[in-house]
Amino acid sequence: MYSKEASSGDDDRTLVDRVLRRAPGAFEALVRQYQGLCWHIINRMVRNPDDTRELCQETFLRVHLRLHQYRFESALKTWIAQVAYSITLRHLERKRIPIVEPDNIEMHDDLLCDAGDDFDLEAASADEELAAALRRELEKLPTVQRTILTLYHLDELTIPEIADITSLAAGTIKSHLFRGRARLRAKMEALLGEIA
Amino acid sequence: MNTFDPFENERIRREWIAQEKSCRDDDDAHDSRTLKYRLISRMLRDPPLDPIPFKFAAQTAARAELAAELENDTLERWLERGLLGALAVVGCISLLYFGGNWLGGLDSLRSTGVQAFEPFRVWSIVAAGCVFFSKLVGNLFSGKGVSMRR
Repeated sequence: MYSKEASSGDDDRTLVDRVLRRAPGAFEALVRQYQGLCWHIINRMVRNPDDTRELCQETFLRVHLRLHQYRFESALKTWIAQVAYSITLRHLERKRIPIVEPDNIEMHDDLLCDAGDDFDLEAASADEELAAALRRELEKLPTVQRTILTLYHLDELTIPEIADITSLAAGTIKSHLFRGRARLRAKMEALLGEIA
Repeated sequence: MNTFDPFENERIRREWIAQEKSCRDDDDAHDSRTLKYRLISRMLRDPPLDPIPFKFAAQTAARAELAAELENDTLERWLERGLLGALAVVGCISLLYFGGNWLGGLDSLRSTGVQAFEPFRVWSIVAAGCVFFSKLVGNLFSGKGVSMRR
């Protein structure tokens, strides 16, 4: 049976071979295929369109330069995402922008307020003010936490894939996911309490 | 950062399960906890991000190919310089080791009765060698080398 992973791996090989043979349009096709993922990672971390564009281009220039070193040990998207993440991390470190907050295990219980009753999901989905407030709260999360939430929910990467990209342990990834989502729910509870 | 095991604490475990269930819109959960996380999941799937610029892929690919071409161009020039430099060194070494034999060959010409022109011949050869060597060194430092481009 031809698995999805096998098919994707073959596609990666074909694309990499075409780029290394300098086939016309091959590298542009690679950029087009992975620009979304790179853009999400970088934009989530730097939150500035000009910096995002520059770092994203730098990522693909590095990919073009080092593609002959790629050994198919991980998926091509993971390898490219790793390059994007490490370039952006170095950029933030040069600018002395903090990327994580200190871990405080007690904070988990502080965030776990009671769920309450009768939540109308569809009505809340249509509430623009609530959505805007949640987006503002998302922007306040620490850089790494915000990035991991985006990779997990928007780009639908698995925890092992995110661990490969960020070089963080799977348990740390889970902690960031848990804390980030719990914090957003606590904010929602506070807003709903104000509205009620 | 400590490793996180969501099953250590019962309250955290319940919360984690609700968070993970919320990722699936087709789940028929009715508890408000999961529904609230479902709203958060939907929002996270549509976060505020700057849009990718128009033609970003084409521009990036063009920039990468230009960078690769420039790198290859530099490499070719350095290889040419290295080759010409090696030829010049070999020529000088040859002159040092075999120059005596060559002058001996010129002596035999003298013995056949062209003595009058001998100094002219010797110095002509030396002058030609100097001109050639000077031009070679000049081209090496100016970066022209020998062009092999189409």
